[in-house]
Amino acid sequence: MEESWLYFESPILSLLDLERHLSDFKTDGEGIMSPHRSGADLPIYPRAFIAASKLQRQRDRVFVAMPFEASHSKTLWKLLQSICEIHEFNPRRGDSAQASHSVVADVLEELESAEVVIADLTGLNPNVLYELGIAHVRCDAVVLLCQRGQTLPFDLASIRCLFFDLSTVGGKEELAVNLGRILEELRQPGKPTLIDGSAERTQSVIADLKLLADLPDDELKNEIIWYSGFLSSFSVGEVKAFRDDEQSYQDARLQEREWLLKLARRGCGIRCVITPPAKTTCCPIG
Amino acid sequence: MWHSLRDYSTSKDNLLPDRVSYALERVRALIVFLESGDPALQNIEFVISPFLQKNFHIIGRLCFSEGFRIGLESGYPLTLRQSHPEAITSSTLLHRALFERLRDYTLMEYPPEHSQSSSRENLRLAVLRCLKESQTFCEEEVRVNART
Repeated sequence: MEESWLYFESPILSLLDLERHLSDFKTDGEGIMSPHRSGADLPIYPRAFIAASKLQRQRDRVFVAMPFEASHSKTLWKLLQSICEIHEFNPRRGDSAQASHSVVADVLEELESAEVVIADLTGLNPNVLYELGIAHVRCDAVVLLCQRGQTLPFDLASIRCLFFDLSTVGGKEELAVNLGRILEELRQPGKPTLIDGSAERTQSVIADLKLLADLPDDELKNEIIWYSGFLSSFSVGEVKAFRDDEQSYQDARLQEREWLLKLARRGCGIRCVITPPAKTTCCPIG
Repeated sequence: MWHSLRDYSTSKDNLLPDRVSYALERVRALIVFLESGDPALQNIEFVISPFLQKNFHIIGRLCFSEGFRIGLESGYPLTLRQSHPEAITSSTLLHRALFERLRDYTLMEYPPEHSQSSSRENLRLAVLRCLKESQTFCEEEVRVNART
């Protein structure tokens, strides 16, 4: 049976071959059944599989659709495993299944069981794109990842994607922070978070600005960043104005300023309400 | 109405004597930026508020965060970050209204000496005028502090 399945990969298939091969498969009227399964056979076509499987989504289950053999695959998979572990998710890939099922059926089973699907679009692997298409129809929570520098196809370009750079420790940390935050938000949508510390707060703002920067230019032009406060980070310069104990805060504000400038130069709108010190007297109001 | 707001500004309240030179450096840096001709300025607008507003960031449709002071130190040590779409939408609505009202206030209170055809440019000049007044004020405060 294993052998006959391989024939389907041949571009040349005579009608006689086709007839012989089809006779090896049980059909349920909607799709071809996986020839690898025994007992609880499930179809390998998504629509029939979904109708037959009746699987429940498992809380904490993450399915990662990714290329297995790409140069970054091993590093990314290890990193994703540790990020998921920190945030108490259970990551799995298409090759995680223990049973000797058809890979396609296993993947469909994983897609139907996962609470979150993460798809690595690096290299635009056709299997990943096929799985992503199913995930977008079937799953509420889909997170796109892609190595920085790659252009996404038109259909996916307008969907939020986390671009990563695994060549540096900082790049890995950035992915860990941003993906971790998304996983938490998916688990508890819109749950407010408290950030303790001025520098930490600015780092959080920078992380959000970086996420915004991942949008393509035509999307970014529709976004606006609103600020109100003292003088904004555009007033933070290289001249030492902060106290010695505020150095990390000044550095963070300079980074924030750089990201704001990058975004504005690409067309993102920024609106700042500022309150410069003035030669006026204080008067109680109200 | 706006004129009286300027008279009752509370912004001086936010200046501690040992923070005047800090404020002066930041005012100077902002003036330098507004006069730099950086292409980013095509997409950045400032307006003046006579009162120190809440410390707020709304980052696109991603999230908004509000900072809270817990003492006299610089910055906002406690921050509430929210990403719920409804929370972002309502905050954006409020901020847009605030910004538009303060745009009118800024142009009325600090009208540029030579009005330009572009409203964006007029606003930039108005903000620069306010910042230069602020710079003069801070420099005077630094001198007073040095004498005392």
